[in-house]
Amino acid sequence: MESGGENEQQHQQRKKMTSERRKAELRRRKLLLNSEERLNRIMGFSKSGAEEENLGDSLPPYELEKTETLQKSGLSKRTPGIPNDTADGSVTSIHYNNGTEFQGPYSADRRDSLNKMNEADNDLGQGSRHLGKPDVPVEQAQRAPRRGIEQYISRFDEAMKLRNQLMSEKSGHENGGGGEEFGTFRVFRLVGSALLALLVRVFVCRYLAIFAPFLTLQLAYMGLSKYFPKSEKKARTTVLTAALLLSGIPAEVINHSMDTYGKMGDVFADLCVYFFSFIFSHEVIVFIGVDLP
Amino acid sequence: MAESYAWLLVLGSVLLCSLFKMLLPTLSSLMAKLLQKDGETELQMRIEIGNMKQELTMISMMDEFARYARLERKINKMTDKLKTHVKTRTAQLAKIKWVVNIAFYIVQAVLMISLILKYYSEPVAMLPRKWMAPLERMVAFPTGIEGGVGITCWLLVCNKVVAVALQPFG
Repeated sequence: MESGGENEQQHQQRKKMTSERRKAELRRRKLLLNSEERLNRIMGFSKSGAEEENLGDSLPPYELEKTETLQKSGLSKRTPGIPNDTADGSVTSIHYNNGTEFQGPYSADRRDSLNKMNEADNDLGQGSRHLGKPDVPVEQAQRAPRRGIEQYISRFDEAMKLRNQLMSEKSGHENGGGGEEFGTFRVFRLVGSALLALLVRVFVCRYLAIFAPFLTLQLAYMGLSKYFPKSEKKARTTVLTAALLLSGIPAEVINHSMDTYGKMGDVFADLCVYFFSFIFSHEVIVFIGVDLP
Repeated sequence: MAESYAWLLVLGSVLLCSLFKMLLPTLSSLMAKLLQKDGETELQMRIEIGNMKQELTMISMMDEFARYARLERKINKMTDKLKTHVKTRTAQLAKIKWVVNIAFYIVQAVLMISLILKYYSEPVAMLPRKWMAPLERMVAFPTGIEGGVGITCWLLVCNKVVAVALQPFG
C-alpha cells in the first residue's frame, strides 16, 4: 500500500514536472516566435503609448533583458554578414565588400528596418520619459550612432563605387590615350568660326556688328549637332564631381550641370576663335594695305 | 592710340609661354641630368647586383651554405644601397622639377603683369566702334576707349586660341 502511495506521489510529481516543462517550452517558443512583436512594442511601434507603459511596467527587468538579448541575437541572425560580438556587448556583423573586410552593425539591406526603428525613436522618446527605465536612454544613445553608421555605410558604398570608377577610367585613359577631346564636330565648329570671321571681315562688317553673325552660327551649330556622330562622352570624374557626389548631390544633376558647362565652354572657345580670326584678318588686311572698310 | 604691333607682341608672348610650358618636363629632366652626375654609379651598382645574382644561382646552397649566405648578404646590402641611392635621386629630381615649374610660373606672371601694366590705358588694336556693338565696353576694358580692344580681352582670347591650337601636340 505504501509503495502504491509512493508510486502515486512519484507519478504526480512526474506529471507536474512534465507540465512545468511543457509550460516552459511553450513560453520559450512564444518568446522566440513573437520576438519581432516584442521588439516593435518595446521600440514603440504600437499605436497607443499606454501599451508601451504597460509593457514596461508589466515586464520584470529580467524579462526585458531577455527580450533584448533575444532581439539582438535574432537581428544578428538576420543580417547576412558574420555576426561578431564586440567588447561593449553590441552585435556587429562582418561584411566583405570588394575584397576588403569591414565591420558594421548592419548591412545595407537592413536600412529599411533601421529607418523604421529610427522613425520610432521619436515616439519612444516620449515614452521613455514616462517609463523612467535606465535601459531606454541607453537604447536611444545606441540609435543615434546607428543613424550615423547607416549614413557612413551609404557614403562608404558611394566612395567605393567612385574609386572603382576612377580606377577603370584611369586604365581606360592609359589605354585610349585621351585623344577623344577633339571630336569631328568640335573641329568643324572651330574651322567654321574662323572662316565666318574672315567672311564677316571682308563682306559683312560694314552692315552689321560682328557678333550678330556669330550668334546665327551658334544657332546653326545647335541644329547641326544631331547630324554629327556623337563621341562617347565618358563621365569625367574629377575631384569636384567626387566632392559633389559625396556631399549628397545626385549624379544626374551633376552630369547635367557638367554637360551644360561643357556646352558653354564650347561656345566660349568658338567665340574666342571667331574674335581672334577677325582681329587677325583685320590687321593683316591693314598691313597689306587693301582698301576695305 | 594703339601701337601697330601691340596685338602681335601679346600674341607672341602668350605663344612663347605656352610652348615653354609644354617643354617644361624635358627641361627639368635635362637639368636633372646636368646636376646629378652620379648616374654611372647607379648603373655600376645594378650591373654588380646582376653579376652577383648570376653567381648565386651557380652556387649550391646545400654544398656551400656559408658562401651562399655571404653572397646573399652582399646582394641584399648592395640592393639596399641602390634603393637609397634611387630614392635620393628621385627626390632630387622632384625638387628640380618643382623649382623649374615655380620659376616658370613666376616668369609667366611677371610677363603678363608687365603687359597689362604697359597696355592698361592703351588698346592693343583699334576697330570702328559700331563693329563691337553691343560688347564694345567689355572688349575695350580697361582702356575705356570705344572701338579699342583692351589688353585683358586680348590676353584671354589669345590664351584660349593658343591652348586650342596646341592641344593636339600636348
